[in-house]
Amino acid sequence: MSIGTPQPEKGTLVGAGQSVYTPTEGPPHHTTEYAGVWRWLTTVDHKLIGIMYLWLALFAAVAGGAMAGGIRAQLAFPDGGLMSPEVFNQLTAMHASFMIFFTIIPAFAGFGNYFVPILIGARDMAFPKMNAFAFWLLIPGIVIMLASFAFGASQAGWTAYPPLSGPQYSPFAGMDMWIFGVHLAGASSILGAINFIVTMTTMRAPGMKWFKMPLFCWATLVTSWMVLVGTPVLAGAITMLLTDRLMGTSFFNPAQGGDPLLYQHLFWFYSHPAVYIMILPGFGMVSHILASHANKRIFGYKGMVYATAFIAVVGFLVWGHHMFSAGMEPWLRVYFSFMSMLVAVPTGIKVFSWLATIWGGSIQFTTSMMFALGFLGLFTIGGISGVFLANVPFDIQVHDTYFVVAHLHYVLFGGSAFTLLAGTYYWFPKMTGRYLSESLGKTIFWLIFIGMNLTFMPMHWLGIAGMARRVYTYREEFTALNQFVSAGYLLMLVGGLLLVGNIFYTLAAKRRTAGPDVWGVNQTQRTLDWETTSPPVPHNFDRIPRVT
Amino acid sequence: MNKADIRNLILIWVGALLLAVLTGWGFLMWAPAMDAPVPVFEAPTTHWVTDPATSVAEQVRRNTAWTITVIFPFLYGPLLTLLYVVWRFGKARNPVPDSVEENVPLEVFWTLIPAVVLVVMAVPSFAVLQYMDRVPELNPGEQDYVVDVTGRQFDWLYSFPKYGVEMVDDGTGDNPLVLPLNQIVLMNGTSSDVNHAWWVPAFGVKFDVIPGRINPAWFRPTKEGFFKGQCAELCGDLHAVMFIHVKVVPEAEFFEWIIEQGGEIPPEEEEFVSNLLGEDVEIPVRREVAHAAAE
Ligand SMILES: [Cu+2]
Ligand SMILES: [Cu+2]
Repeated sequence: MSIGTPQPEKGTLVGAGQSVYTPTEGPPHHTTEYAGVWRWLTTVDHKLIGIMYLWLALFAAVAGGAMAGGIRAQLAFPDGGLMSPEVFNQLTAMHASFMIFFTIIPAFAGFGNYFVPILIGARDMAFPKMNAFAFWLLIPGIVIMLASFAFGASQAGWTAYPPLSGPQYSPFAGMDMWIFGVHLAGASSILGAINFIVTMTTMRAPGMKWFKMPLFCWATLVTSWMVLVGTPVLAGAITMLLTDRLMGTSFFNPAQGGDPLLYQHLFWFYSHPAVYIMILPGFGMVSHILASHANKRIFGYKGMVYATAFIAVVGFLVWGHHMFSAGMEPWLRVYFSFMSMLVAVPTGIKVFSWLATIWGGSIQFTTSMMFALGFLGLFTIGGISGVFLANVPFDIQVHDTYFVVAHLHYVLFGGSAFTLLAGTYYWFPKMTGRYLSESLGKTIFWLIFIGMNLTFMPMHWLGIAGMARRVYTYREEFTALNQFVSAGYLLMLVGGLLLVGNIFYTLAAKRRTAGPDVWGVNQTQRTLDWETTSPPVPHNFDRIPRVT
Repeated sequence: MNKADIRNLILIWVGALLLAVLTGWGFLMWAPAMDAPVPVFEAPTTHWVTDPATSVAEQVRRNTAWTITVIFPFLYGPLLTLLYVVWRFGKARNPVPDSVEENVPLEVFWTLIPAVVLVVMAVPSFAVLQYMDRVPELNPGEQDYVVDVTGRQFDWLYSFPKYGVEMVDDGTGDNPLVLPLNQIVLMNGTSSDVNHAWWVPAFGVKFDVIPGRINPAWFRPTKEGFFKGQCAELCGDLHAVMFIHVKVVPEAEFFEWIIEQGGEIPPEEEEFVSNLLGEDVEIPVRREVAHAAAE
């Protein structure tokens, strides 16, 4: 469906400084084209692929969330006794792997697939078949991951540090399957990244200069570059681990001159940037949502773009902050500490710009906006605890404790997941033509928001007080706080289940009522997603828009 | 946006600054309550915040209070501003939005201020880091104590090479590591299987022990007592119960323990130890060294 260079038609040039397009009139004429299993299995349409990514992410979120439930059930009491230590370690390793590799990254890939071509006024991604291939790589990936439970799933944490993950201490096939699963997810990300970069570089609508591109596209573009630079390094590291396991090499085996620390360097060279890979697209999304719902335009657009790029560059120079206690030269700790603190500057620019965007606005409190505002608060908390972790003397105390678990969930749940929830409510009507229930949505927001804080806030104190992470049992004195944490999980569980139920109900029972400008925000925003029908016609636009 | 909003914004940020100072102070004040059980934890917990037991831990505690003071304005400020925006700029209260899209001086301001604050935070942090990395000079008449620690699935093997003592802390607490009060302890950590980390919260000390590598650390215990720690790097099924137990006692008691463990005192330390333990205690002196010297 790719049409190569878009051909602008005469007469679409209107307005100033914005994109302008006349939406197609009349009832949606595409319903039949979206129907049928075969259509989904063989499609190369970026919108259908995007939706499949989102379904996969939803499935992985439910699976990963269930694993978190197992963890919280075990930890509700100091001697939970619900499961063996082996099973507990499997759950912590697989919860993280599912959430990172199969929920957050694919979910952003899904929104990116669906909306990047639309937002730049293109008819599809640059390489539609590769796009489909990238998605379909994830299916065997997640199947292998799930199946690994039958063969002794990985117990080595999502970080899979050798020697624990090596042949001697993890002598079960589940560990190899974990490596294959991550490999497939990584390959999928790399192909997706190439596709995004080429699409945005070559297929922007006429008149859409770089600095007219919406922030979600910028974020996806920068993220794609990070994937392209970082993911091959992770692939290399886990390949070396795999050959250590299966072919008798000894990259990480000290008994034969290998070095376990080498793995940590390679792993974090990818996995620190991965933090930004998992949050930058969300930054882009909330920029759209905050501005549109405050009935304003984004504050400091260029500053936002530069800050995103700066975060990406510095993000590759700070990996050592995960290894402050692993043993490194004193001056190297100073370097990694300083660079990590530096990340706070562009991140601060973003937070201040969002606040300035909604300051003086006229805010419409939809569920989407509430999740975006919630994100802003929670991400600020996660960012501040991040600055503390960049501070080596403090980091040494809380490294590998629940403080780190608290921090990473404020960033990945309060940050990434909240942007995804905001984006879901924002774009669901565009993707389906149907509105999710707003009143139920607000209930869901409060359940998840309160549950989230109840779960992850006490973890800060647990960590400072000395509760190590990845433990299946803990000392009596931590009981009270752990029970708050487990209670918070229950609130989030109810909220999550209501959301899943609401999505199915809306798709099955509600009628398409959404017009092109779903939230009535296009007067200020003038982004192309609100110029086409809901859902968009298969070719997105009857005429390629001209942006001025 | 009108003048009242600007005034309120300034008030919010002044309030955020004050709150941050208060939080930093409160963090320091947490410590004097250390003899009483800390309410939220239900039982007395020795750790670096409420009960620092080495000079390193004390330094970290003070540095953390400072970090809170300078960084928390950037926690309270945005959160309070966010609450104000939600209250003030809803559609009902503010039907007509302004159209401000940029303000270059403001953007430069909020880029530079955090950068300056980070330096203010970083400099003392690096000083503490240097303190942690550099073993201090010995005072005259003082000696340091070298302990080699080896992490194993799932216990800790300690050895005092100078005294020929080897012992295992199996995690039950029956056989704790014993260290001398107010003396410099040098630890060298390694592992014989997978990665572990030696961590005693009250000491403010944590270092990974990795097979094929030796990671050093130093500290000077400043409080007598019994301290609990645990492994802080996932190392297998029983990682959660790979506990560490350390007993800090006066130097004389430490040597009694060494002798009890079958340790021998090198000849050059015989006088020093007998001064500590009293004339009537018989000191096992290592003879092999003397033989070797004679031959
Ligand atoms: Cu990192
Ligand atoms: Cu361990």
